[in-house]
Amino acid sequence: MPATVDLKDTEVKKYFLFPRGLPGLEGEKRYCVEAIPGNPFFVMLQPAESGPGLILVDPFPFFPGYCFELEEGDRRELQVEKEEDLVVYTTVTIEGRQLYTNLAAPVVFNAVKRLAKQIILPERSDQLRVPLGPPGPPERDGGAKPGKES
Amino acid sequence: MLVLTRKPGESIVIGDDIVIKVLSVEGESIRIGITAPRALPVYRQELLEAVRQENLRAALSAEQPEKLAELLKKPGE
Repeated sequence: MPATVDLKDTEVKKYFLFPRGLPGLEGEKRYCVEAIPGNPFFVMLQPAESGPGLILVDPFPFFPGYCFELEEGDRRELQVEKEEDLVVYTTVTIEGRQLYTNLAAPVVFNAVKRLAKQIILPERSDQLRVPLGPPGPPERDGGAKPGKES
Repeated sequence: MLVLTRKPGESIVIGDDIVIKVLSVEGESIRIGITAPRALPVYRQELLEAVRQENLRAALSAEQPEKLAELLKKPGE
């Protein structure tokens, strides 16, 4: 994953537009993404913190084999010109003492166009909540798993 | 809502390039075949609902970001 793209960019272009909003949080279409210092997480906030935010993580250090195909329609919506402009994060939930991440619905950001979309991957519908442990080996479930039944 | 009655083998056409065909009826289950452009996402409604629920859970979790680093150090139980 290219680490060269700075999601924060300039103040003017601080926000990402989710033209379709996020499932479950349909009211808000704009979010900014900020790194949480000292750990691999990011927080995605609504303007003026007017509503709930989401915790995100870069899934690739945790699940090195994680990959998916971005469909033509999604590429158009995100106005993808170069693959390097894209950044993929997944949402994180805290349940008791365990962290989980949702590999079935990654959030794809076009850092240049400031557009974003949560993509739903039917072939990974069994990975809506995958335990998130320290990065690196041993390989965990949900890593290098080729798509199967849709 | 538009309601149509179809028999197995019969289809419904939506717009220019979406065809929904009833393949078979087995007890309470109906097998449906969908022909649509690749760009058009098609998924079970339950999956969208599950993503909604997961996002709402993630939104609640965002209220306690201070727990993240601590929990990550602990290998998943």
